[in-house]
Amino acid sequence: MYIKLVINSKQVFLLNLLVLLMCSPKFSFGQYSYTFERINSETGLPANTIKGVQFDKVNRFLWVATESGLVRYNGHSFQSFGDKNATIKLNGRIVSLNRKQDGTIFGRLLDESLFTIIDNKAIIDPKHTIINFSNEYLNYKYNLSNDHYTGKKIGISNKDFKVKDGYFTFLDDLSKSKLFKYTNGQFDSVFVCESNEKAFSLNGRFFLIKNDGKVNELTLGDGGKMISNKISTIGDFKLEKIKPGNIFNVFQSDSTKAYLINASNLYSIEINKGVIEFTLVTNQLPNSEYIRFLQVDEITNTIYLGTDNRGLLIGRPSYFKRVMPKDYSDGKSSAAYAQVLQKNGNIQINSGTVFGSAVTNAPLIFYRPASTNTFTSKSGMFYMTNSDGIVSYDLVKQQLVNISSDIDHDRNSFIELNNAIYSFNEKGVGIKEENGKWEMKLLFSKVPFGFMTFQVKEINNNEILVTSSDGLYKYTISENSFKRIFRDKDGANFRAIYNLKGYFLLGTYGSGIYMYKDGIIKHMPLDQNKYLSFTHCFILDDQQRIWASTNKGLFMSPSQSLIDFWEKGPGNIAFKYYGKLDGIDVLEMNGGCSPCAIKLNNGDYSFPGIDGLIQFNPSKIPQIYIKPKVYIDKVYINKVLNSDEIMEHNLTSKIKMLEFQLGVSGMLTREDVMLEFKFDTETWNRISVGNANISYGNPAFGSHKLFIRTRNTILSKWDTQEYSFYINYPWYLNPYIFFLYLGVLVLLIYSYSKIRFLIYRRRQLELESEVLSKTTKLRKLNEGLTKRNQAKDQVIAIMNHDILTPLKYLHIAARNIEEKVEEPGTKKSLHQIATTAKELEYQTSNMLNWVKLDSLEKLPKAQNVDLYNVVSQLLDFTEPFKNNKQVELINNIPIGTFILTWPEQLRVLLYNIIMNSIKSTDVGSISISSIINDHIFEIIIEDTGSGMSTSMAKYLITGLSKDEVEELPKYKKGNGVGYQIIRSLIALMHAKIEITSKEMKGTKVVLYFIQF
Amino acid sequence: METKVLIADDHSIVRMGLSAILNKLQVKHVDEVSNCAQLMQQLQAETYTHLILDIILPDGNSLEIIENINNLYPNISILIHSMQPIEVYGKILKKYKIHSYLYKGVSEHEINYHLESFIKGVTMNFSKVIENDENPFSTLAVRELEVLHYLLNGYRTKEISTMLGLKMNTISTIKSVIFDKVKAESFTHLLQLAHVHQISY
Repeated sequence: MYIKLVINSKQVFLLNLLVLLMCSPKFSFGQYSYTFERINSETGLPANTIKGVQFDKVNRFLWVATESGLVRYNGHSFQSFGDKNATIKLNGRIVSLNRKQDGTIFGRLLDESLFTIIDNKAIIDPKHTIINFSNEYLNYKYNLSNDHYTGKKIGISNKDFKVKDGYFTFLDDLSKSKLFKYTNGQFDSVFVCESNEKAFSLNGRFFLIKNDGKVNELTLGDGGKMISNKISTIGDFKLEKIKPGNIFNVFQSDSTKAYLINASNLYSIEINKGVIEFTLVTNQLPNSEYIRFLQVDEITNTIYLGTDNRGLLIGRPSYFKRVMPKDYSDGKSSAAYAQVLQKNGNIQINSGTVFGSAVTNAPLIFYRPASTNTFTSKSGMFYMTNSDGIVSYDLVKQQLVNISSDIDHDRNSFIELNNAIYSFNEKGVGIKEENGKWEMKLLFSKVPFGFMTFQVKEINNNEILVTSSDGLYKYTISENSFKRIFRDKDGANFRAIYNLKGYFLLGTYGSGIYMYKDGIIKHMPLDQNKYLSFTHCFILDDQQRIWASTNKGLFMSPSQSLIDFWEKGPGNIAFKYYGKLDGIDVLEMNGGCSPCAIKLNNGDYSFPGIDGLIQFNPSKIPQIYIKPKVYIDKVYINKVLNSDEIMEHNLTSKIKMLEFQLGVSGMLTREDVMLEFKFDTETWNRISVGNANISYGNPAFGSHKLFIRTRNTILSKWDTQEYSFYINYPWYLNPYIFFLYLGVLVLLIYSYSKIRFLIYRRRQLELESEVLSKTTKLRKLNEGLTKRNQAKDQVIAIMNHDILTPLKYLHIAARNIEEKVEEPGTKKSLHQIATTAKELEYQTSNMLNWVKLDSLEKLPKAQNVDLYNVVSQLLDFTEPFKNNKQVELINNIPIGTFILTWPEQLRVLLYNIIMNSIKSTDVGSISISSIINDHIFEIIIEDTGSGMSTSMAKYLITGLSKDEVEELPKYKKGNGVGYQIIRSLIALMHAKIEITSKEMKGTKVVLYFIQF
Repeated sequence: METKVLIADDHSIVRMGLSAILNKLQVKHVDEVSNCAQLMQQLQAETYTHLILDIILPDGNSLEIIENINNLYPNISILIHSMQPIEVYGKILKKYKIHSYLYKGVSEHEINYHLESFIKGVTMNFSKVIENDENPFSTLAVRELEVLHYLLNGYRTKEISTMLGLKMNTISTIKSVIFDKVKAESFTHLLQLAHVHQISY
C-alpha cells in the first residue's frame, strides 16, 4: 500500500514576521512491502541496548553504537570496534553516537572521551579525550572554541540545528521537549513543547506536529522567545490514534528531511515547493518496539531502527512476492512448473493447481495433470500432453478442441514452424497433419536410456534446437535428421533455451549457461557463488534485460552485456542478483518446463518456484549503481593484530605471514560485489566479500604494492585501489650492509693474505734454511763425488795412458824380442810375456770401456760409418788374440757398406762380440756378415766354436741371475765385463741382439740396428 | 842419408816397442827421449830424419815446440804419436808441418803400417780428417786442449795454473771457453762428452 500525504502551505506574514504555513493533505501508497530483520547480540551486535545509529551516506556504512561497543555494518556483515579483536580500543561504554553539523559522525563514551568516525573506522579524538560534559560537548558539536560555551549544563540531543538565527537544540525529557537557543555563550530555553507535540526542522524552519496531525511552525516572538503559530489543520489525514505502546516520534534525518513514526507507519517529511509533504514509506513497522533511533538509506530504501533494548531492526523493501495456490493447504504441493494465465488473472500450472487470489471463475485448461511441456500456437491453440494423449485447447474460445492418442507418449515438447506443429519426445519427432492427426515423422535410432526433451526453439525455417537430458540437439527438417551438436563434459541436462535476438541462451542443470549462435557454442562465466550452475529459465523484460531463475534466486543482466560477451569476448558481464534480502523468501526456482517464466497482463513476471510462484515487476525495482569501496580494517603480521596505519611505516623484516582483513562498503549484498586482489605483478585473485581476507606468506623484502579492486556486478568496470608498503631488509641483507660486507671481505682477504704471507715467509725461511742445509750437504757430497770422479778420471787416465798403451807396446816389444831370441827358454818366456801383455791389454781396454760406459746416459748424433773398414780394423786388431792361428777371421761385409750409427760404440760392441768368438773358437772360422732389410740392418757374427747352452745365451743377453745358467763355469771364460758392455751398448744404441748357439757347433750372434 | 829416428815419449816401454818395430823396418839409428827438454837437447845434439813425438810430455805440451822444431829443423819428418784421435788435433796440426799422425789406440798392424809409411817418407793426407767437424773437441785451440788434458786428469784450476805457469784467471777463462765450445753444461757432462768422443786423458 502506498499513501502520500501532502500539506499545502502558504505563508502568512504577521507583524512580528510570523509565518503561517498552510498544510493540506495528499494521499499516496507505499511502493514496496517491507520485511524486517532483527540484529541482536546473537547475530552480530555486542549488546542489545542501542545507544545510537548513524548512516554514513558518503562511505555507505551503518554505524551502530551499543552499550558494549561499536559495530559497522556494510549490508551483509558486521565489524566490531571496541572488542578484544578491534584495533581501536573504545574504553568504557558508549553513551551516544551523534553527527556534527558538517556530517561527521562522532561518539561519546561514559568517561566523557570522544571518538570520531573517519572513513572506515572509529578513531579516538586526541584533542578531546576527556570532555567536561555537555558544554565542551556542545562546543565540539558546533565547532565552537573550547571555552566558548560557559552556560549551564544541558542534556544531549540528536536534534541539533544550525539555522540563520544561531544554534538550536531540542532536548526531550520524560514529559516535554524543550527548544534551546545558543546566545551569549550559553543555551537558553526558548520554547517548551506540549507533551503531544514533536519538533523538527526543515530548511531552517522549526515545526511542531501534534499527535493528531496538526502542524505548527515555531517563529520568533517578543523577547526572543519562540511562539507556535497554527498554520493548518491537516484535512482528512488522520494520524493513527496513539495507543499504549505505539510510537509517535519525529526523527531528524538532516536539515531538509525528517521522518515521522506513527504506530506502524513511517513517513518522510520534506518541504517541496513550499508544501510540506508527508510520504508514507511503509506501514509495516514492527509493533511494540521502542524505537529510539532511525536511519534511512534512501538509495536502497533500507530502514534501520535502533531499539531501546532489542537490538537493531533492518527493514528492506520486498520487490518480489510469492504467490501460493488458491486452495493451498498443508499436505498439498505448491511447486509450480508450466504456467497458463487464466482470464481472471490467476495462473493454472500443468498439475492443475491454480495460483492466485482472483475469486471470479475462469475455465480450467488443465482438466487433469499434464506433462511440464506445453505450447501455445500463434493462433492461440494450446497443446499439452496428459494421460489421454496430446490435448489441443483453444485459448481464444476457451474450449477443448481435440484429444489425440495417435502418439502414445507421456511427454512432448512442441514448436510451431512453417505453419506446422512439431512434437519432440523420447522416441522421435512427431508432426500434426493437416487433418489434425499426429504422426511420427522420425523415430530416434540412438538415444540414451531415459532420454527426455525439454524446451525447443527454431533457429530458422529449417532447423530446430532441442534441449534434452543428453545435451543439445538439432533437428533439421529438410533432412529429417536429429543430431546432437553438443554435450557438456559433465553430461548436464540442457533444459532451458531462449532466443535473445539470434543468440540462444541455454540453461543447464549443473553446468551453468551456454550461448549458441551459428553453430558455435560458448560457455558463459558463472557468478562468484556459482548459483548459475543450475539455471532454469530465461525471460526478457521491457527494459531489454534478461532474467534468469536458479536454485538460489534470480539474476538479471542487460541483454546487451550478454551479447557483448559473445561479440567482444569474455569481459565482465553485468548482472544483479536478487535473493532473500530483496524479498525472495524461498530461493529455489523450478524449470524444465514450457513455458517457464511468463509475463502477466499487469506487467509483472511470474517464475515457477519450488514453493509457489515468484512474481515481480522489473520496472519497479530500483537500479542501484553504487560503487563499493574497500578498506583495510586490520593487518595481521605473523598473526599479531595491527591497525592499517602500520602500512604507513616500513614493516619488519621478520614477516612470515602478512594478512589483511578488508572492509567493503556500499550496503550491497555479498552476491553483488566482486572483490579481487593481487600483489605487485601477480595475477588477480578473487575472494569472497563475506570472507574478505588476504594472506601473503613469506613476502619478499623491499617495496610491494597491493592492488584491491571491487566491482558492483551490475557495473562492468572495476574500481582499483592501490596500497604500497615496504618490508625492511634484515640488517644482514640491507644494501648498505654490502659495503660493510665488502670491507670485511677485503679485510679478511688482506688478513688472510697477510697471514698466508707470514706463514709462507716462515716456511720459506725454513725451506731456505733446509735448502741451505741440504745444499751444503749436497755440495759436500758433490765435492766428494767430484773428487771421486776426478779420482776415477785419474784412474781412467792412468789406465789409458800408463797401462793400456804401455801394455800394447810391451806386447810389441816382447814379440820383436822373441823373434830375435834363439834360446828356447827365453823365447818361451818372451812369448808368454807377449801373450799376457796382449791379454792384459784386452782386459784393460774392456775395463776402461766399461768404466766409461757406466757414466754414459745418451749418445751423440749418429754418423755414417763404413762398416767394412770398421770390421776390417777390428779383425786386424783382434788377430793377435786367436787361440789358434788356423782359425780364420772372415770379413763378409760388402765393401762400401755404410750404416748410420755411432762408430766408436759400434767398434767396442763388435770388438767384444768378436773377442768372445775368438776365445771360444779353436778351429774353423769366425765370419762377420750383414743384411739390410728395409729399415733394419743386421750384423751377424758367426763362429764354429764351442757354443753355449740356451740359458747361457739368455744370461748373456739379459744379464739376469747367473743361478739360472746351467753349468756356468764350463763356459765362463771371461770376467763378464765384455757382455756387460755389450748389453749397455745395445741399450744405448737402441739395438737388439740375438744369440743362437749349439754346443760344440758354434754360436751365431745377430745384431739388429734401426736405420733412420 | 841414413834414417835416424828420435822417439819422444814419456813411457819407456812405448819407446821400446816403437824401437822394436823400427828395427824390424831396418832402421838402425833410433834414439829415445822422455820429455821436451831432452827432446830439444837431443835434436840439437844429433841430426835426425824422423821424429816420433808424443804430445803430452811430462814437462809440457810438445805442440808448443813443434813450431820451433819446424823452424830449426825444417828437414825433419814429424809423426805425432798420441792418445787422442786425430780429429781432436786435426785443425791444429794443419798449422804445423806434420807428416803423419799415429793414434795409439790402433792395432799393431796399423802401427806397423803407419810407421813404415812414415819412414818411407809417405806424408799423410790430413784434409779428410780435418773436415770432420762432428767432434766438438776438434774446435779447441792448443792451450785449450792442454788445459782440457789436465781437467780430464782431475787437476784443479790452481794446480793447472801452477803446472802451466799461467794465472788462475787465465785458466778459468780457458775453462769457460772449453765448456762453451763443446757445449758442456757441467764438468760431469764434459767427462761424458770426452768419453763419447774417445778423448783420452
